[in-house]
Amino acid sequence: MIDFFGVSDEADVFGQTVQLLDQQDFHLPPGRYALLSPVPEYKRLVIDLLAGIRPPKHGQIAITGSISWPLGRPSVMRGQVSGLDLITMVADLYGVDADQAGDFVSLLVSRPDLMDTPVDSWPPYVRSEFNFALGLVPDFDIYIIDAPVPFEQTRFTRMWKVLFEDRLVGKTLILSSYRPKNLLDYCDKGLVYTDGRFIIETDLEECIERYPARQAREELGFANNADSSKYSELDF
Amino acid sequence: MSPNDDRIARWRARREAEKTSREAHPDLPTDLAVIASRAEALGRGGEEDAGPILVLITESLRLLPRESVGDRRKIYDAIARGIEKGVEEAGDPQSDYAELRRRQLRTLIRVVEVDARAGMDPVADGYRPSGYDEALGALAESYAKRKARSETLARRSAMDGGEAYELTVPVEDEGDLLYLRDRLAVIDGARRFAAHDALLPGLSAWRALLRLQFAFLRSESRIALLWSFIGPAMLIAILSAGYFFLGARNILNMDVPTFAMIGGTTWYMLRNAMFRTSAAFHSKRALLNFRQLTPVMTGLSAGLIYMFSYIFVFPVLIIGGYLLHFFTLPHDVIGVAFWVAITGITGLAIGANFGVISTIWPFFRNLGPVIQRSMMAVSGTFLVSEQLPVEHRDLILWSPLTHAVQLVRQSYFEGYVSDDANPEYLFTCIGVLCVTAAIGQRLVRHRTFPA
Repeated sequence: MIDFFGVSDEADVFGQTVQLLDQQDFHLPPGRYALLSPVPEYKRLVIDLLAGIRPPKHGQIAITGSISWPLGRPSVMRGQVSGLDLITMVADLYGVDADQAGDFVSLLVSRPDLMDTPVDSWPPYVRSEFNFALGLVPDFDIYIIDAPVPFEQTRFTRMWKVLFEDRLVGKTLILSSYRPKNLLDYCDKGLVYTDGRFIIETDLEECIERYPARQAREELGFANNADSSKYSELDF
Repeated sequence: MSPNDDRIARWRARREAEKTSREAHPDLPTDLAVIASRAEALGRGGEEDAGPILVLITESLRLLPRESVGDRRKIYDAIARGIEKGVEEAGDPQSDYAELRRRQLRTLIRVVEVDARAGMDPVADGYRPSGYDEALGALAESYAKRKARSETLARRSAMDGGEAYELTVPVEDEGDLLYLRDRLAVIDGARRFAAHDALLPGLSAWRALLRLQFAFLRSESRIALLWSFIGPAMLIAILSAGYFFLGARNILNMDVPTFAMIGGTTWYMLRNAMFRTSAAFHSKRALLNFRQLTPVMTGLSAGLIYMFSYIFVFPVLIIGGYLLHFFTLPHDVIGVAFWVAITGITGLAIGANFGVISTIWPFFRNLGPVIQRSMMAVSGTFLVSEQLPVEHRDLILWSPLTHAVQLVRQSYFEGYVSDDANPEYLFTCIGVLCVTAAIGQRLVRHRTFPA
């Protein structure tokens, strides 16, 4: 359950300061939501607020229960540190046993042999698998996914999907993906961010037609929001 | 096995197949019963491609009389009967898959018949019915849509019922899956704290960060680590050389090499604490994707790790230099350790303020080298305030760094007592810096976006 109390926020998007929310009160009950927006570039900013990883300029956001980091977000699992270092960090943060978490992730991913090498040296698909595999380790009340759910026909995908279905029972999901099938598979409602406010739509298919899921410009390789252009050094 | 034995084995296998087929389809002639039996597999398996049905049709037409429409009809009927039996055995004759196979067969019969009646030979090598791709492609497409729709409905039903949607995995994956589920149950059972606990997650977050920052430090090149020693050593050499050229051997009862070592090493620690802290506010923004972590935490943890590294650098330099007769040993070890730690904390507090400033004004980061050199001049690295004329001492005594480094030197050297270093002023500055950093961070936190 996520509640917004008088939330106002703004952000720099492609060099312009935009008002994301203005004195918004909003209640998001438990459920499975596909995050949609006519401007996909805003979705990442909105996810940051929903996930509680960036406070708004004004107002309060109350999150009831544990919430995941934005699973699948590529920047999360990067750096010169090894996969085992990142597993240890996540284990420390969420109070799980690092060795058990390491065993689990190693059993699930396609390239367990890379776990003790720097993450930046891994092929992108291994990083993505690692990111999603690690997301299964702590049991969250609210899952946030900021990438397409794994879809390649591999052992990892088959296993991950089954285990994720297990994890999702009775939990809340907020999924931001540019693949409509992902949204239809995992969600039953639309959480639409438009005109500076949130709307919950119950007819997901109609909602996807109205707000077609597409990639944001940063996902297509263009510059991210203005903030990223200011700080190009990303050594983690 | 001789060729004759091989032939006999094949004959026996054929006889066995014919016998089984007759038992399965007793009302059909043997040839048609065999075709029907072969068709069963096409309705039973998960194969979606229409190719194997076409192969069976053309092979059957080649083996049996096919001149009249009636002859061909008998073959088609046998295949249809086999497929029907196959889908029944598969368990769900009303499934989308069963419907797909029936439609594929009907479509193939239609296109083959059109060709046969037009005078084409369906049993010729490389035969492919005209209109095959269009007709079968449309069927495959509509099947894929129906399948997706059914899956979505099944998922919705599972969601509504509060159950996990059951995805099928290949038999070879079932064992692994069972084991992975078991591992997750063990992980859940051994979890140390729940999400709503307050104290433990806070402490764990710091532990997680410090361990990760140490991993970052470790992952840096060996030259970078070696620089922790080389940097101060070079500064010591430059400072000592400067004083020696001026003919100084002692500065206010402090021997020049040790004086330079204390100033140089403390400055490097201070510089690392300050600038690693402020840089991590932005360079470690990826860590902000974890809700428990804040820019201040990432900054301070980065600065702390570099500060801690001087726990090793100081003793190695002091003991090494002492053994080589360069440096003297400290007079008050605990006092030195205390004031070095306070100096590091001053650096962390300044770094946190720089981090806040650069959040509001990103260009501030480009001023790093200028700020660094300016601060070095007022850090007490090169001289202590007592070396300056009284009227000029205020030029450096405003800086808390000067007080901090002079207090380190006062603890180190028995013969030096600093008249100017003021612990109260230093602690007041640290307090003010901490408060401004905390307030500033609260005000600008929303401007720091997770990477």
